[in-house]
Amino acid sequence: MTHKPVHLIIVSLILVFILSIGPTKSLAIAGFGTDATEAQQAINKAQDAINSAFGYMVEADLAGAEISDFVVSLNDAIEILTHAQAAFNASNFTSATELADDAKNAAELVGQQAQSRLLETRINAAIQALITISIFVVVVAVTYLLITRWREQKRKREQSLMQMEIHLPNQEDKGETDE
Amino acid sequence: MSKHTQNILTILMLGVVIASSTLIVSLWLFPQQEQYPVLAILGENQQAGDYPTNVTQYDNITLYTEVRNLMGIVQYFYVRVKLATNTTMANSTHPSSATTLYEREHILGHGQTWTFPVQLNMTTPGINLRLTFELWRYDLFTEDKIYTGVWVHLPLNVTAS
Repeated sequence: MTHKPVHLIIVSLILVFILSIGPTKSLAIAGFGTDATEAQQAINKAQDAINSAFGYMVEADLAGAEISDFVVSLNDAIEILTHAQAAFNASNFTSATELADDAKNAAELVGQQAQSRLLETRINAAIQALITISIFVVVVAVTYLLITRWREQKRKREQSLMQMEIHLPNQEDKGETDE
Repeated sequence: MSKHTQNILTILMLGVVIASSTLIVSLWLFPQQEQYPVLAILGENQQAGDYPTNVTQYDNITLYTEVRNLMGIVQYFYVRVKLATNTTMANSTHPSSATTLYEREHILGHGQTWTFPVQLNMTTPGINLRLTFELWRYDLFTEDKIYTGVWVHLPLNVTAS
């Protein structure tokens, strides 16, 4: 029981020490670190957006879509991100964050446009495939009908030939004719 | 076998023959071409030749790099420049283990060419150095940069100032 006030005093002194030194230091680090962390996160997000847009662009290219305009736009986004990285390296974190956000927005726009064009190309390809299949089906059906009709007519002709009565001139008729 | 079945079989056979012959003719007319990227180093005048071979430490050198995409599809390329030695040289399977001095990235559609200047300050002296240019690309499956196995280098001596 006698030690209690002593303990309280020690604990209080420790708390006072921590509160007097700790927060100042941590806030100072936080003040610097937050900007740097934010800028780094913005750069990472912009890079992710560029990679993602590139993925959509590859899909669109594979589907046969025209992508040359996306290539130009995404290269612009890459260029902006390069400037953002340079600003970050120069400890200009505010500028780095702004540039990285610009790069991210530009890349996201390319990604959305590439997705739309991919969809458009796929729909066109599906329509073309449908038309091709339809033409093939029509050609096959017409061929089938023609073959069936031709065979039917051939069969009828054969039947009518079988039913025909053959009249050959007999010997008497021949003699009379000769006379 | 009824005549009806015979007709159907004939038409199916005809379809198969037409489809296969179309495929063979298209493969013959449009053969699958080899797909590869091209990496080249150009001198200060943007032509092959006049490459620096002996420079003094802290000298600035300017070279041009040319990348051509003949991979058949859009590619996200990276060019990494390294100063390698005989022991850290790149080969077709492994990139150089030397530190990257310079890196640039660009997206190229099939058939497109990208030419850009590379300005370097030669801070490290040495003889029989190899100024190595490596071509990397972004791989969608691994979601990371991968070495294409394409590289070029310039032999270089950097004399201490």
